[in-house]
Amino acid sequence: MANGDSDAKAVRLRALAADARERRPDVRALARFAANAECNMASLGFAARVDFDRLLEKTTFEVPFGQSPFAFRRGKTFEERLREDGYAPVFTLLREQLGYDVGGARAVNLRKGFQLSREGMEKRAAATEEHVRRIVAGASDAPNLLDGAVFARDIAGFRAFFEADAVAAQFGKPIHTGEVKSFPTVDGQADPEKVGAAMSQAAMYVLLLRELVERVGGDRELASPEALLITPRNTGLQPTMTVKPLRREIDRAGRILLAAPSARDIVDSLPDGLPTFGTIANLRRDEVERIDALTELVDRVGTSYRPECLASCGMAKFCRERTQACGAPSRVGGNLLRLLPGIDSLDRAAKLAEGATPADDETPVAEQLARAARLRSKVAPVRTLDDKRHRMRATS
Amino acid sequence: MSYLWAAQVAEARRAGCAQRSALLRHRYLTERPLGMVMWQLGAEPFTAAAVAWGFGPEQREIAVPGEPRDRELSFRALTGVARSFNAWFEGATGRDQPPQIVIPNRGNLRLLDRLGRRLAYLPTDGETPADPELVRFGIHLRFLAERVLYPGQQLVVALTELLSTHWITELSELEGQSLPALDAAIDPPEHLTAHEAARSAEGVEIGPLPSREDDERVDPLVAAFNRRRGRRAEESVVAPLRSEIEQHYLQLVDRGWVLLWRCLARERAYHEAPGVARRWQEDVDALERHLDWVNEGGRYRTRHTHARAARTMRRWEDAQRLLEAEEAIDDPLRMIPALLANDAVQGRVVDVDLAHREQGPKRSVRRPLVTLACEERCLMPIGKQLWWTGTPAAKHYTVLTVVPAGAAWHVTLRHETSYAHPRPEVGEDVTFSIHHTSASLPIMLPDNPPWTHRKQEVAMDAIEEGQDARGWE
Repeated sequence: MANGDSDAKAVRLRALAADARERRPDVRALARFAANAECNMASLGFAARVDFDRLLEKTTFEVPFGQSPFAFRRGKTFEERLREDGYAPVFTLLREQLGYDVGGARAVNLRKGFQLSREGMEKRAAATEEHVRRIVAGASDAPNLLDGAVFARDIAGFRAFFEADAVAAQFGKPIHTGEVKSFPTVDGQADPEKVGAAMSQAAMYVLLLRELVERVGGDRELASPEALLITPRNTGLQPTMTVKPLRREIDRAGRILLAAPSARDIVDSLPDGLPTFGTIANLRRDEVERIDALTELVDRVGTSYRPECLASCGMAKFCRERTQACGAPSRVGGNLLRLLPGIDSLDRAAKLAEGATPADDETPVAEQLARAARLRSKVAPVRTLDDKRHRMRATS
Repeated sequence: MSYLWAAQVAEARRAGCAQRSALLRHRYLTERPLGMVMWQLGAEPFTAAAVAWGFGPEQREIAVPGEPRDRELSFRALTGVARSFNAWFEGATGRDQPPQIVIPNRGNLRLLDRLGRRLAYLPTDGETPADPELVRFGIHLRFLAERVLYPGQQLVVALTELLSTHWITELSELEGQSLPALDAAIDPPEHLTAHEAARSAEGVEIGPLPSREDDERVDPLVAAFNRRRGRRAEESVVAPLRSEIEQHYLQLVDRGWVLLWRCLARERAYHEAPGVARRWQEDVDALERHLDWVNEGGRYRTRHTHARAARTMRRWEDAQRLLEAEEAIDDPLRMIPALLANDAVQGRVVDVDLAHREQGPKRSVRRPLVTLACEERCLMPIGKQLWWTGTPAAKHYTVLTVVPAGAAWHVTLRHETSYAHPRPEVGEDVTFSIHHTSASLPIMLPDNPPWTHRKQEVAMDAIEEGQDARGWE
């Protein structure tokens, strides 16, 4: 019964996605989904596997994402350096930091010899599972390092693959997951924001590794709650490793995995006959037509714009425009939103500041706004576009 | 954030342009600051693909190494910048004012900081000795990067910060990091609102992090440059080969260069607040201490102790308090948040009782009383300490009584001193607030820190990882 219900959802989601470009959920997509859990549209897009970054391509709302070719190659070069001499640089770090005995240590590169396809990923996931099984069993030929381990898992009703940079293990020691990043560590410190992002990824891998270890008959605690962060040291490309404890991030990752399936429930509340993501993403269609379709869909589904969306969502500029049009305080940010509880538009705030009669729940805020505006008006007039233009003419 | 800000955001939306959050200018701007605009190559953190510097919109020099990942080429380009920067910064070229550096945004600040970290500790002897100019440049950058953390400092002006401390827009904090967008919201072109103008301006990248498209354009140029020079780095070989790369970066730099000077000129037109002078003097003193110490050949201090951290923290906290106090005292618009928070009271003086006496511990002492008539209901608790904005460094007043008097409220304050201070006079409109400029209590630390607060010394070394023969490709 439950299965049939879930199939019906899948069918509807597929119909909604239509031929829009697909995005399989990797760790980043999951993090993005988790970052704005209040946004119905983001949840729907996640469940329907629509690539939002490409959805508004060639429209005025296109958000340019992408990496500089130099930055991309810097990352690749650094990764290649780590693979030299049978992963000698990594094993050296493992010996120094975690006391690995590196004589005869074995590394397996799961990025090689597999097709870049669903089948390839399925095989890599199977190979990862087999290697982890031997690690857990303490087999004498078990590898000590997996480059590009793949974890397969069902997320929101479909199978997703997660590719971890590294899994390191030695008999009698906890199994670690590792992240390789090309930003530098200087004086033992790296950019905290970037480290934070890397660690939330790593936490997800720790959870996936725990599930896998359990599946192959091991104790889930065998997967260490610490992640290894490998970055270049200082100005060069010499690697350095930092061991980071992850408890809080792991809890958070667990919550994300729990919340993911509910993303599909949104589809139940939607009427039939909505425009599809395929229509919106269709480059052959007129821009006005695409945006109209999106507007209709968003009107029914609902969004929740916050300025942070600009950094991660391909629809952010579209949502910002809608928020600007209605004057919602969230357009400016959380600070303003917290100051104006119960006031859904800045236009209303301006009226209250002028002394409009507030509704009951607006009263406390209205008093403050009106007082602020009164004090301000004693000191300086509101600057208008006309003032500005007079002034410019006067000075030029 | 106060309701003044919320009200002004709403006003900015209605008016279609940014609102001033200050009547005056609360930062010092010298007549002839040094402008700097930099670009990175991809995410390469410790080198610059282009550095532009100069003293005005028409006065710009640029250094482009061609291949910034090559140590020799990068250092040669930076040495050019270093020579000219050091001569000006240290005062050798006869500048008539202390130096001030203006950059477009925080990204440039972080890049200067990282360049400083790389250059300041380079060995000037050994196999690959670094030019001492480069090392001194690095030391100056380190000093500036640390000074930037000091609240209210004005040696380095990042324009996005200067504008966002003086203007209120509908832009979020993230969007306000874009100088073109911020500038557009303040001065939208004809027929556009702030939002429309900022929306079309935000696509203009002014660095230092390049967009994908910009780097995709320079990628083949750099590849061709490297192919044609082979492994050679002599100036005579590389100079003729890199003109296309230079052209590319000239274009990129020009996006920000004119904007930088235009924004600066607009802010300069506002009257300077009186408190700015004291803070500028503090900056100049810090700068002179730094230059003296560099002249004595000092390397950067690398020993960090808990005591030093505690003192630094106290200095920053004091600087922050003074900054807020001076801005509020200087600028009626900046006083409003204190009034809204019931941390200040405004009114007309209706009575001054200089002869008022109170019983002290031994004998009766003179404690003058000042009574204000306030239009607004005063929600100030009895006993709260306030300072008159006329004498913010003098002894405080205490709120004694708050009583209704017809339509107004009478607030009586007791001055906690008998000395003949200047005091407000009857009929004067005055403000009393929690803001004061007297010194805070000195921090008392033990000569010998307890074992909990001892720390091993961490020496800073060069972070140069040696010349990797294989390079970066």
